[in-house]
Amino acid sequence: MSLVKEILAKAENLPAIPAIVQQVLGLVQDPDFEFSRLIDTVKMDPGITAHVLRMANSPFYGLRQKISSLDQALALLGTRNLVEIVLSAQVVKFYQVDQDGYRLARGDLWRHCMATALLANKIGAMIKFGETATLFTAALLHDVGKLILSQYVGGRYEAIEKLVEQGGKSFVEAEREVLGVDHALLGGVVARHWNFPESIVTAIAFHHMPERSSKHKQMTGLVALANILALSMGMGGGADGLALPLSAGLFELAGVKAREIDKLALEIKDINDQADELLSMAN
Amino acid sequence: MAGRIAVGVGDLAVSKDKRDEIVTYSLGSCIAVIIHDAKAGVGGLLHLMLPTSTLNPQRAASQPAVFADTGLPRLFRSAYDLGAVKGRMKVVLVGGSQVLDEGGHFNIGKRNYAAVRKILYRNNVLVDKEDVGGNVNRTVGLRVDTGEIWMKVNGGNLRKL
Repeated sequence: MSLVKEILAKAENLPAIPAIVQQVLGLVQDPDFEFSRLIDTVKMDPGITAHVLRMANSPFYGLRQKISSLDQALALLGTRNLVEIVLSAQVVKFYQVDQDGYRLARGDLWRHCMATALLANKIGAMIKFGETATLFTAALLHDVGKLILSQYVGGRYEAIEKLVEQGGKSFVEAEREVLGVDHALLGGVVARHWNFPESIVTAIAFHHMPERSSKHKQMTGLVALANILALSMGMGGGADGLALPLSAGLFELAGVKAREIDKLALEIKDINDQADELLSMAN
Repeated sequence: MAGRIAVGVGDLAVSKDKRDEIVTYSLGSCIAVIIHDAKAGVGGLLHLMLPTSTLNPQRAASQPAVFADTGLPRLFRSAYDLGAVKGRMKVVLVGGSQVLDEGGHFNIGKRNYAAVRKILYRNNVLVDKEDVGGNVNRTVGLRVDTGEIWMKVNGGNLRKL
């Protein structure tokens, strides 16, 4: 079997994402969804229900009263927070492994993805982007391809490093050249295998070249921008460091003004603390 | 408590405990300003995020270490409080890298570096060593007793600076 085929086969053999993620995403995509249906969906899973209540009662959300039911949690936290809690609790399981190939310690990739998701949401709120749950999910899963590619990158690190250091390539380009596929496109394959909506598949697959996506350009641009900002501000740089390309016109794609960049970068300070707290609670 | 002091993003630490090591992880465009006065046995590390506090004066008031213009005075003053003297201080800069950006929008690293250099120059402080720029991610540590500085680039092997 060729290397690319072997890697793609692994992507398609990754364990399925829990059904609740799909159900919640499917529900909230309809702007007129009924809250009771969201609650009914979450209630089906006692583990997640317990997790939501634990999170709702944590100092992170700073609620003064004790939360003892999902209805109460939804009323006080709002849909967005509730959906974020449910999705991150499910996704974290996939990221809780060492990413040696990328020289990331356990939890580092998850912190990076969580920071990217929180930042994407902040930017999305700033520009009044409508599809917050999909944006959050795409950002949270944008590096899912690294979970599979890590072992292959590790084994061929020297060849990749040489292309980056001497050939002036970005790390993603080098991955593609050495392995035949990069972590972004591979992530797209995983997302498709998980039956995610096309917007999420596209945003993950094109997060290093949003200008080339044919659809969902703004969401892809937002994930790309949040990713670059998170990495620039030190959230989760591993073997690839900052050797990543910045697409021309990224700000226009994302619908964000370039002069806002420092303001957005500053958000990382709080997001860093939030990601730590979310990580410690998830463990 | 003696040991490893981890400085978070937009934060700083100083120490005169010989057993301490001050470390900051994962510098991208942020810059670590490391100071050490061997005679006083005082070391400090500032992990700044952005060049100027005009962006958010409120934030600068509550978290001065976020910005170069408010973080640097705070770092030096905290070290003076422990007995360090400006003229004896060794100053090292690490970080300030950025993504491969031809348009120059993501030049936070360069702007951070320019701001730090300018402030230090205006205050007659010389930089002894630096490892800045490029497209890498750096982790750096300072031993308070010896003033030795080590760093890791892109999660690779440890080396002395």
